[in-house]
Amino acid sequence: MRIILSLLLIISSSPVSARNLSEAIEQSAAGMKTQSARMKVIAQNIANSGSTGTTPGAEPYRRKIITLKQKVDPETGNMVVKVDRIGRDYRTPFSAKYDPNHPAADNNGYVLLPNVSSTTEKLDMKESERSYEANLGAIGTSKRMYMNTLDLLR
Amino acid sequence: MQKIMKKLAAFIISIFVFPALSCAEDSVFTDMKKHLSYLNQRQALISKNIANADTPGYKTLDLAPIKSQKSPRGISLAGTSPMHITHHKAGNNFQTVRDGSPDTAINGNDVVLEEEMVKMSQTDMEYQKTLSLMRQMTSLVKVAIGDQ
Repeated sequence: MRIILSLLLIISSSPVSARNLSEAIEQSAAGMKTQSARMKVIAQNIANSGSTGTTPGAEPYRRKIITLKQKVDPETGNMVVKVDRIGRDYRTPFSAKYDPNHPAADNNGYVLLPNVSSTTEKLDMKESERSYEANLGAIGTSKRMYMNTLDLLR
Repeated sequence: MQKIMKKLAAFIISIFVFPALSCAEDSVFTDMKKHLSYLNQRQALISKNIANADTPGYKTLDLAPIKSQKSPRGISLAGTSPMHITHHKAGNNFQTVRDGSPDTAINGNDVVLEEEMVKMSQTDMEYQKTLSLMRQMTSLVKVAIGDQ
């Protein structure tokens, strides 16, 4: 009797959950991965917000920009979010500071400073953090749904 | 005496339960299974929306609500193989629809994180509800076959 009953339940419930819920977890995990990659870039930008050149007229640190894109995951064939590329910000101009004694000072005595704005980076960091938390919450929910489906077998 | 009463109760319940399971093409379990499948797919889509909350040009997706199918009148064909033609539509393909907010961000993304969280908890609640219904049905069957 027990066997028949569990068989009935397995037939009626298992093909339903496994694929889609693991896809949900996969999507959220991809989201978390990209957000942590984004966080890494933001940390690099903040850490290098004072990195100037070392020779006269040399370029300082140029702000990095990360872009996200949906790509096919070769393992599962699903479209998941991934890092598209990490480029440099060529639009925002460098700021300059008058400091003739600096090794990177040009002929007029100005030193170029990185084009990193701490406000922008902080905002990006907050946004990234929120997205990461949302993904984490989604994983928690998917996992609970999965576990409850398994509980049906008891 | 108590044993006989117990068996009688089981028999009566089995009369009520088994027609629902066998004759009506175990419609209760089939419907619940379909609903679970719908909720699972929806959860996957919502997860995708949340994961793509910062992807440029991404448009929010959702599943169209399930339409209640009218049960066919009279006797329907039994489908014991996926190749058989029955009134049930084959597969669990639910329609995907766009569900973005009108205020699209500058990068073309229209995911609202809060709305997705609300949708997700709705899906979760529905899922728990259906599962507990399923558990109830199972315990009914258990009573009917005298395996308590």
